Amino acid sequence: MKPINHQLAILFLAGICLMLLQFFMVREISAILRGTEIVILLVTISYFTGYSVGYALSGRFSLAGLRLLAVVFWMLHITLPFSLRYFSAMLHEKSPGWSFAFIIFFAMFLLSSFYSLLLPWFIDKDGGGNSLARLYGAELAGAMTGAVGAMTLGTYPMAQPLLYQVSLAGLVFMLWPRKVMAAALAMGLVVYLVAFQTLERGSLAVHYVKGLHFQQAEPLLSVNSPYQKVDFIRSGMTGKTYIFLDGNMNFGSTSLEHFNTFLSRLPATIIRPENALVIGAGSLQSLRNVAPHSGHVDVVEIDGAVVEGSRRFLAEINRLDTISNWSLTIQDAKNYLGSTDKKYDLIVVDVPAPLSVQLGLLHSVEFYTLAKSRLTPKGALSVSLSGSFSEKASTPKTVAAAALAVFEEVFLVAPDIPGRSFVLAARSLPFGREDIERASLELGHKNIATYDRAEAKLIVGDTPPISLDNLSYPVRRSLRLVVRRHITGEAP
Amino acid sequence: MMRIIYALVFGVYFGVIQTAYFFGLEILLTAAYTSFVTATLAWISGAMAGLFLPDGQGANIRVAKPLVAKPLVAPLVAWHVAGLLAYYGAMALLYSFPYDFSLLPAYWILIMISGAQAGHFFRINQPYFPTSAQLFLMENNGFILGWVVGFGGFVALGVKSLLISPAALGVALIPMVLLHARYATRQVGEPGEANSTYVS
Repeated sequence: MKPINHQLAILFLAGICLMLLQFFMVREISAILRGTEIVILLVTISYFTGYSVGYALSGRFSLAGLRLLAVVFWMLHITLPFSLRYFSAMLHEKSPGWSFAFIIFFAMFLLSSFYSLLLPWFIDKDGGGNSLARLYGAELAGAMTGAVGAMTLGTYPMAQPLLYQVSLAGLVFMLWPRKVMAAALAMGLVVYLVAFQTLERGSLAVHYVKGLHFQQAEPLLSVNSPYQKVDFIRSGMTGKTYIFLDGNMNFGSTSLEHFNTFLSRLPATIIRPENALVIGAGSLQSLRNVAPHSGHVDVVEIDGAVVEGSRRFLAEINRLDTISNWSLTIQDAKNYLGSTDKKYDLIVVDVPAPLSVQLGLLHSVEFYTLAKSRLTPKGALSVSLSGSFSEKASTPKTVAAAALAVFEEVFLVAPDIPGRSFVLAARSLPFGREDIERASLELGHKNIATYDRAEAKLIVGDTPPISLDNLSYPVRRSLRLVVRRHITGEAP
Repeated sequence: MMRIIYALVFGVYFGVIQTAYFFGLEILLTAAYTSFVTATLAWISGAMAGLFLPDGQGANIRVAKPLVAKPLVAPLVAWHVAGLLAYYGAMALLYSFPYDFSLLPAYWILIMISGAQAGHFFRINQPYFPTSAQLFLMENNGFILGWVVGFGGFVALGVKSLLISPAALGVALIPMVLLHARYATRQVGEPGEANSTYVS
């Protein structure tokens, strides 16, 4: 049997594959499982455990065995990510728990293990010595290339998977350089390229129908941004467009649309801000609600892919064609608030519930303190409590606790929309309970409950807020959700 | 057994310090991908550089066994201390100048120094493991554990853990480095224990 000549190139390609897998497949898998902090943690740990599996098996393969394994891995991985979506959706329909277990097993044993097996295999076959630096260096150089590729190509729907498939095919060919292998690999790549759109749309539709109970689902856009998997899905039944971020619904339900109106339009109509800031663009509906009542609106959104998708597919919702008094900054909200000198009369925080540490930071005492420092003396902050405010609701109480810890004046508002409430907070609120009730009535909602600071404090009790010294709440909430979604099946 | 624990514990340390860099940058610079890219690429490029750093031992090992421990200890401790100092340098900058992108090159260099320790670790320790697979396996198991510990510490203690954990682990590792050097010295030359190319 011929020896392998291109060790450096093989390991360079393995490095590319490993890093691309870490970016797009870990995210893809997290989205299938509807990524929260615990899901992302479990999937990432499984991915790295795959390295250990590869290292542990490294010494057990002969060259012939390694070549065979490479071909088997290629045949499995050339079906990704579609096969995983189809299979997990099929399993999910029967049992969410089995689907969850299968995906974790896949991530642990069948994702990264083959690539990690290669480095020690080559070093140890080479007799160790100085080859480690050379060979490991090649793999790390590949990893850097893969990271740059993953970061720059994510917003082009086909680019990351294609780069991965080309790198994998090149690796397999160099491991087993035969004409018949070259022909098979080339044919596989051509089929992958030709079938990509059909399989991508088909597998996403099946995932949303079987996994998330859509009657019919039409994927409009699906990209891996540097932060999350962003899906825009149109319901075949209602024609409504939904935004899913890492598999979690960010926009789409009617109650959420109504609530967004409350969260943003209500304070804007009362305050009539000269300068307003909307943190978190999402559907850009909050911008539409605030802009007609404001001098100028700044929108800060970390993920440009969400804004781009909303411009293209939610034009009827945000009506950007009718708004001119706004500007967009693609940046992290903390960094924006920490580096700007601008002061605002109204800041609307329109971000998802604290299901991850990163989102938890946007509901923390420190973040609200930073936001407060950018408010004018009569400026107010409007934040969703991510649930109905009540004694039993832990998330609304946790978010409210942070607002109560920072602001002198607070109103908690619970409109007659199931599962929704929000907080209006300021140093000195330029309006009272009657103004809130009148503005609600103008929005068509008679039955709202409002709690002033003292009333809210009684209900919040000693619930600890999220802070830089205690970020455990998002993780605990995420864990509860994982159990209810994937183990007991209580949550949809 | 000693070398297994040694690689495992260093893996934990690398996992903890890497997560601490990520969280520090995320909180005090930006949660945008700039932080993630800086931490990832700087760490990898540092590890690459670390693989080619002089190991300070080859020539000495060939001279005589009793001299091995000292030359082995010096580069191990030096890079360990440099990696830790770089980490705390980065944290000091982040706390002193939060949200300041002009300091990105400085963060890149400091993370590279910490990453270099990881690369150097593999290069310098390979001769003391029967196979490189065992070294990678144990370090990776430790890394996973360190990742969990780093994440758990951050979640439970918040920013305090970014200041405490790397130092606590880093200082605790110094006696381990010394013990390992002594152990490695004894192993050199024993058949099947050390790589023969290093004791010729």
